[in-house]
Amino acid sequence: MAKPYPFSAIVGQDEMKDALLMAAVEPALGGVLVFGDRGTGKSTAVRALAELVPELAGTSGCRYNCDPAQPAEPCRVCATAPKSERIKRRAPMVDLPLGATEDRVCGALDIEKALVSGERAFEPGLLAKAHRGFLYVDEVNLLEDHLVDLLLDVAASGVNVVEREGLSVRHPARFVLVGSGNPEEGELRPQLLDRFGLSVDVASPRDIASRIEVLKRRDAYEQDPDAFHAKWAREEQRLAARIVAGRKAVGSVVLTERLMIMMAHLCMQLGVDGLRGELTLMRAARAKAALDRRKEATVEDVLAVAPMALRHRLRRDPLDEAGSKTRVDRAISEVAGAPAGHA
Amino acid sequence: MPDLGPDPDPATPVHPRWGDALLAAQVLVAGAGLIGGVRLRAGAGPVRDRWLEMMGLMLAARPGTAQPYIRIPSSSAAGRLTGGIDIAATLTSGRPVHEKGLLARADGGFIILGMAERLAGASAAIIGRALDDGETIGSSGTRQPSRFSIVALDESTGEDEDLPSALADRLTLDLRLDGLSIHDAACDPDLAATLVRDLPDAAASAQAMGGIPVADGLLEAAAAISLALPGGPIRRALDLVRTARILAMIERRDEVDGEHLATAVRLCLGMTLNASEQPAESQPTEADQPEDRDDQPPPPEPPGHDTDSNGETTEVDLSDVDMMVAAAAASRAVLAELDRPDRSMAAKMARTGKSGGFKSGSRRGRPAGIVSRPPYNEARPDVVSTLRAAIPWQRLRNPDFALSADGSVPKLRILPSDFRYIRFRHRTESTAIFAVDASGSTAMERLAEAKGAIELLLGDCYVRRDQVALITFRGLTAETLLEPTRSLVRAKRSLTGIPGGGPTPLAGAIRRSLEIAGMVQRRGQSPLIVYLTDGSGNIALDGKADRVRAREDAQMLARQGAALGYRSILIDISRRPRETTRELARSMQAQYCPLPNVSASAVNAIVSAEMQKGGGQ
Repeated sequence: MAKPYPFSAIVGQDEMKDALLMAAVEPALGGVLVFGDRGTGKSTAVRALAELVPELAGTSGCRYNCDPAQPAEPCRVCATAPKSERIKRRAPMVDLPLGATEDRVCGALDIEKALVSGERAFEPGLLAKAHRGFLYVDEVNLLEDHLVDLLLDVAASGVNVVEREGLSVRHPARFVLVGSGNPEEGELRPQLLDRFGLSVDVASPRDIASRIEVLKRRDAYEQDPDAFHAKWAREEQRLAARIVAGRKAVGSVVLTERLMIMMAHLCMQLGVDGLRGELTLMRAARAKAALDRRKEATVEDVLAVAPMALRHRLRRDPLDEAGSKTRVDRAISEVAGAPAGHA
Repeated sequence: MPDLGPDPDPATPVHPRWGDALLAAQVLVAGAGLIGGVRLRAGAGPVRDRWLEMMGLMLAARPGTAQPYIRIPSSSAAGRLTGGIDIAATLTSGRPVHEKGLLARADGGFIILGMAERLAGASAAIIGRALDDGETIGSSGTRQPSRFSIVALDESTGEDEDLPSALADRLTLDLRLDGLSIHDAACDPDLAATLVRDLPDAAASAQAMGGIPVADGLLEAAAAISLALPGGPIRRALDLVRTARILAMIERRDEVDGEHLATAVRLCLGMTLNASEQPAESQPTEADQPEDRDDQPPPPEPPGHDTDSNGETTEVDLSDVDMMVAAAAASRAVLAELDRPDRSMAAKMARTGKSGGFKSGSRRGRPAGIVSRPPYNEARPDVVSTLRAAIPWQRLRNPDFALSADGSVPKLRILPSDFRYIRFRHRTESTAIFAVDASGSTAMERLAEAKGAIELLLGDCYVRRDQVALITFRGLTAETLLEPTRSLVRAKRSLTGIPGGGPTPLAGAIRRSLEIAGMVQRRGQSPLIVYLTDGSGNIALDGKADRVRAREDAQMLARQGAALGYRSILIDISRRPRETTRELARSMQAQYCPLPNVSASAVNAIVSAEMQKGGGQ
């Protein structure tokens, strides 16, 4: 496949780009859900993201994408391979097609091995392939519910457990789940929505100038992908460096007590159920600060990430005309207006 | 004269629309694998066959490597599209043999997708991905180059069918053949050969196309036109630019000019840009507008011709571009109309010969697991999962099982207990069709409550996957405000600003509801019609104000609905419920609920209860 369109060359869509970068920096965020019309660059952005993430150490021939330091239990290649087999590989970006079966997603009995040698072996599925990388589900809202449940479950636990056809396998599957879809074609169940860390809405640019820019860049890319990449290589490197630095720093970003209180107020104000909202808000604020190379998260960080962290967690009131974004914005302005009083 | 498509030789005048169709074919042949493809809107018939034949002839006549031209049915399974295990070869050779997917086989050429409007969403998503990436990934994980373009045969006739948007969105050209006579559709090998004679080689197309510059003004025009389309899809802008480039390539020009873009607009959007658009076209009179477009051939002079008369100027005429943008903005209303799937009243009424799709229990739907017992009679076992179940036992059943050195093939022993079946899960979805009386003085209040009920229903129907549609009736006609949908977003958008008042065309409303119910049933869902009315219709089916005829018509249609077996509820919202209304409810075998003080929650409670009751049907 030709190199995907570079991430930094995507015109506008800053919120989506930020959310994806944050998810790349902090895998614990719980993935990103991108909702919007067709042709707004959702898939482009997701595929481009994998190019920015640093390469992973691995072993050649390994089908579980194991980290050589802690190989997966069922992976025989990594258990026996000498160090010389170590390679660097791109972080995987696995697409989950809509028609995928459970077999294909989780893995199943390896027919070839069974037929040829009578050996009962496990053939890893897409979840193993996506380990340490990204799993992208386009049209997540059209995916069969039991697959969505399964995905979210594995994404949350980081382990894929297969118990079927006499196989009993568990292997690590830690990936950043990215879903996209068009809400006009059907919505996700609220309990599934809640399990995505961040949610962003995208739309096509409405001003002529940026549309022309999109056309021009897309055109240049299609004419000569390599030249286009060369032109954007610098930007890409800078972004990649930001991600690497962010990943290192994200654990040590300081969150003050005052900020925590503010987050709690924000969630209470919006009536967000459970603690997942607060946790995501905290992680997202950290990731944002780490991306911007700051050692401490600020009020601005929290305010910037609040819409994407909370928008999809609001209890739906069908008779409330205001969209969830407006409600979040309203709550933000209320809480941001008076944080000092609570501190 | 390379440009034979639009301006053929004057001795045998080609119908302008057939000329366009041929030009579209030329663009497709030149841009195979570079553009998404064409949406060919036409019923099955000789004209469409001729066009497809012309495409085939043109592909055959084109020098260079042969380009595939494969026809696949819309029911092709997802696995076949991307490739999977070749069962026969696997069984004979004793080891899995992977076959190439249909999409990969079409690499460099075309896929003709028959009855594309019946394409399943999952298949559409797979095709869409392949169009984006230029490759498919088979079930074994092998990447296969698949650069192809689609010829989607769209036979949809009414609002109940449309191409899956994942596919429709990626089809570059929009071609309509209905209304063309067979006599207009010239088709012969010589013509085909002339049309492709000057095209660059298949391999060189991409290079040749890439080298053609497009001026900024034209990019701006393309951006503006796509912005004026409903939803402002930016893919359309890319399509326009690509098509204009291919047109320039066909004409062997070294730059894209305004005329190319104007032609591209005609081919991609199925409309003619004309600054002096007839005002009749932008009037929202639904009845005659579609007729207009169907009978009228596109005005023979696209605006681009002005530039042509200026001589061979390669410079872009900016006024021309401005005009195009203005025209695009002016035809916004037309475009909105174009975007709607139903186009002609006649087609809407012609309900015969509809493609099937009746509810068939759990034989359709999405695969949901594998079971060892047939889920329904005459179910066929799934070979791969049967093998998977049988293989672990082979050594026990057959001690000699192994590939012997002389290459003899081992025999699999498969017992009935190994048979595995795919269980399909097809949710019996319900669709509530609200027919709301918007006539008279209490219209606004009732409408507001009906809207509230719809939103409440949608609010809690994620899990049940139910859908809701809304018809309002007032004045002389019943109007579909909300097509069956599950999307709260869409519902909210179309429920704002509904007018009320006027007489009561109850019979028309019943007819409309029955039509929608029929369409819902063909989709495999169970319809539930909810009438909110006081039952006193005063407009007959023919639109005349005649109370007696109106009642007769309503009774007749009500009985028809009962005969068709649609479930319905009649919510009587008059202050004093009357016997005639009750009688109407009896005729349609509806549940009758007098509800003098309508409220959203009461309506919601009644409908929810009924929908859950019917969900298991």
